[in-house]
Amino acid sequence: MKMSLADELFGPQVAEPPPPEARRWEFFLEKGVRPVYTFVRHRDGLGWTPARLVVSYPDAKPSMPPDPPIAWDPRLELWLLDHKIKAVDEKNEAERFGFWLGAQLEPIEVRYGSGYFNAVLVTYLRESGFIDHRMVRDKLDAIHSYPPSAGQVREDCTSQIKAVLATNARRLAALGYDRKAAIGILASAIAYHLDERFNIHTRALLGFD
Amino acid sequence: MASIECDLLLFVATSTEFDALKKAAIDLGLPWRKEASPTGEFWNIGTLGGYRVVVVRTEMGAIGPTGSTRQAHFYLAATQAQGIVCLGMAFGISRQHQPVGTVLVSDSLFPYDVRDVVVDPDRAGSWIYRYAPEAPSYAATTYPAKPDLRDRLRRHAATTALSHPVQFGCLLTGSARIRCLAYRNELVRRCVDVAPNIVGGEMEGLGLLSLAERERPYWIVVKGVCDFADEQQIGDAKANRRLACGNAARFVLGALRSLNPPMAEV
Repeated sequence: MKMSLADELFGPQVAEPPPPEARRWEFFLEKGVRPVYTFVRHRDGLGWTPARLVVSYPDAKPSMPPDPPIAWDPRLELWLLDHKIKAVDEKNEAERFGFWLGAQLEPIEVRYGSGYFNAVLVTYLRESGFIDHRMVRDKLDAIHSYPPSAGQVREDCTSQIKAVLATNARRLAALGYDRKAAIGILASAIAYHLDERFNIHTRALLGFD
Repeated sequence: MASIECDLLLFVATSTEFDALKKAAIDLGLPWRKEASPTGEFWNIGTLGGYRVVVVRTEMGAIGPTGSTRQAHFYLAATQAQGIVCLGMAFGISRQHQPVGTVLVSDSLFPYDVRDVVVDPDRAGSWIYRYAPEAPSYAATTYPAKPDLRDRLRRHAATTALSHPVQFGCLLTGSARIRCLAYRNELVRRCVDVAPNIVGGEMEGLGLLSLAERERPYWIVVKGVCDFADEQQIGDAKANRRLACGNAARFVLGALRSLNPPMAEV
């Protein structure tokens, strides 16, 4: 059967069923109770505890206990963001976005290889406005990198990285943060991601420069 | 303490694996600079395809003070490396279909010790083992390798005339030195339901699985077939290990070098 022009241009209209956990969250939203998100992931020795998320209902009447923690999942994350569920505070929001950046940047890393991708990422961040944010600057100062030579490949890789960051900036704005707050959260998220990607905190723990 | 600057770590365990990698690097005109870290020596072989590459020696297997687990955690933490390639020799599972020296690349690893051992209901005093892929906290499952490294090795294998076959698939990983055909066959037969496309097995990859969540692998295992984990294992390994290790080392260095992204080499 020939695909319609609309399907060809916009993709077939197949609605992905919401994740099962979302039914409960949807119930509260329909009742006018806005859930609150908490991202849970702690350092554990040289590694991390598994990422989890907790959804709570502070405005529920009568009061409700938070849901039990569940394993972090990109489908759940997307559903929560699509429904404008904010994190409990800006620090937690930055950790939430910082953790997810790894998965969002991975396709670009796979395309270009991690060595080259790292060089482009670090170079872009050093040349961008993010360098004005102390958290990002401190992380970049701790990274030993060397510059990729200029050319179309570098430009393509940079523009894909910028697109991921822009998507996240728009998601933060959609959550209700003003531009200044959104950029601050995104900068903290980038710092979180850089720390993990380059083992900055762990290297310091081990006594390396 | 000055940090170790690299993007990719190459792990080798035995002296044959080390010597084969050294020879392959020198044959390619790469530097082979010995340097020191708090846990011992490592070798800097310069920049290959955009990766600053460092060679680290481990002891055989995952366990021990310089086993692959300890070395992987230390060197990944001490550097800003984004990946580990575990090189060396492996056992194959078919003398007929895997010539000695075939290079096995781990699309995934299957830690074969993650299993339940229970009383055999049909034979008193005996036991059986089984894999439980659905177990909530101890699931028998395969671990996928690092996608960018896997894709690059695949591309190299597909576009390069090589002197040896290359097979991509699942490698069994565990601490056992298997020298029994009946056990190897039984192991493969039991594992294959959970881990399809098994191509061989090895010992050091196990230590890399503890580095991060299953979804965020840092590693890939690339090893040459030197034996078949049967009663001839000792003789086969002795006769074939140089060829097996050499093929794996040349394949990986060749793949990395062929990338050549537009980056300033240092």
